[in-house]
Amino acid sequence: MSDAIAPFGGDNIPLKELKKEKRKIELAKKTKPKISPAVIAMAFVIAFLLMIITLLLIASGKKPPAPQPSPIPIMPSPSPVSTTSALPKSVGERLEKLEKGLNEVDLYQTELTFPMLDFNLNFEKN
Amino acid sequence: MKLPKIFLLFYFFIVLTLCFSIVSPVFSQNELKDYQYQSEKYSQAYDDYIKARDAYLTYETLTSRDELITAARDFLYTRAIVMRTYFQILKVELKKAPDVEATQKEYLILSLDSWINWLMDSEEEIKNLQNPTLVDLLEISKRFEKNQNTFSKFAYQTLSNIILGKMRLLQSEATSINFLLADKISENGGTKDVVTLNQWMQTVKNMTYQSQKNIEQAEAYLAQLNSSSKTEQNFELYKQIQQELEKMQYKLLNAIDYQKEILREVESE
Repeated sequence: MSDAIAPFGGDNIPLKELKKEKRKIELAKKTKPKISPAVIAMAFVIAFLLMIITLLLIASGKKPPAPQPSPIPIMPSPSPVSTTSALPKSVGERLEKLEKGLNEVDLYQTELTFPMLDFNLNFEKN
Repeated sequence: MKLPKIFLLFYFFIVLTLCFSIVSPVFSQNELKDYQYQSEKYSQAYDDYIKARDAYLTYETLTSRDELITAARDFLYTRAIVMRTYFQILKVELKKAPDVEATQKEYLILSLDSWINWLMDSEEEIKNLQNPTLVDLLEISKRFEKNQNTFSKFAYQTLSNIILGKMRLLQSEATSINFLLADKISENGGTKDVVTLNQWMQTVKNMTYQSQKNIEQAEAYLAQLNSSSKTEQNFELYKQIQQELEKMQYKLLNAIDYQKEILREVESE
């Protein structure tokens, strides 16, 4: 081991210079930190947790409704074949689905009625 | 294992996008809950304001006046919040409503957005009031109250468009089924003779046509609502739209019964 040449060094290089060079490299290493595997692992864990939270939210009873079918053009010449992928193909099934849709539609949109607010603030006797 | 930062960022972006796209319908449910919760808070604030006003008008003391100022301020604040959360719900519902005319939808969403912002500013103003007087509160309230017609008009326009879109879609489907049934009759008549089945089909077609007329009438009322300038008239027109669509719903349900009967005959062979 005593015959080994010091790194970056040779016989003509003084010991002080070798030390200085080493420090520079260490400093450079400190200023440019690499992404450690721990950070990457942490990133994956956070992403995984986000997905779990999402699934929990869905499982908590608030299932997202099925996507609305794309609009079908109004008369005058409707296509005899369903233009929406969500609709079943057989006529019987389509009739059932249509009937269900008509029975379920809330024409009075009870949850969305205009709020009953007092639009007359006053400080007088009524 | 070394991964460049850009890949990590990209991965996060994908995951977050997926999360938001899945969770967004849950958010709309939360908005409804928020609106309902704010409505309850408003009711409480309103009751407190009425009590405080009665006390002030009875006793006319400085204490009762200060209590009225506090109660009235809470009332104004919750009233603005209820209106804002209501518009937020309408916006969400309108966005996912099918078969609404694109320009109308865009116009309403933009208008609702601008009112939501206005109401948020109003909430901030009320919240940050320093020692307001009754006169200050009256002035702030007037700015809100003068928009009553506009608020109700946007609400009924949005609601009408949402429900009209749904009914258009259903009516269009009923008409499509008529075409399919007509094809089936011409392919295989079933036990009944083709002439009778075609006569039945004509009855169903007339009913679906009449239901289309109801939609057109509802659209005419909506056009009137778009140019209405009176709060009471807005509500009346919205009611008429609902009535037309109720007639349409009744006709279509009857038509479906007939369509089913025709289908049974055609398939009974």
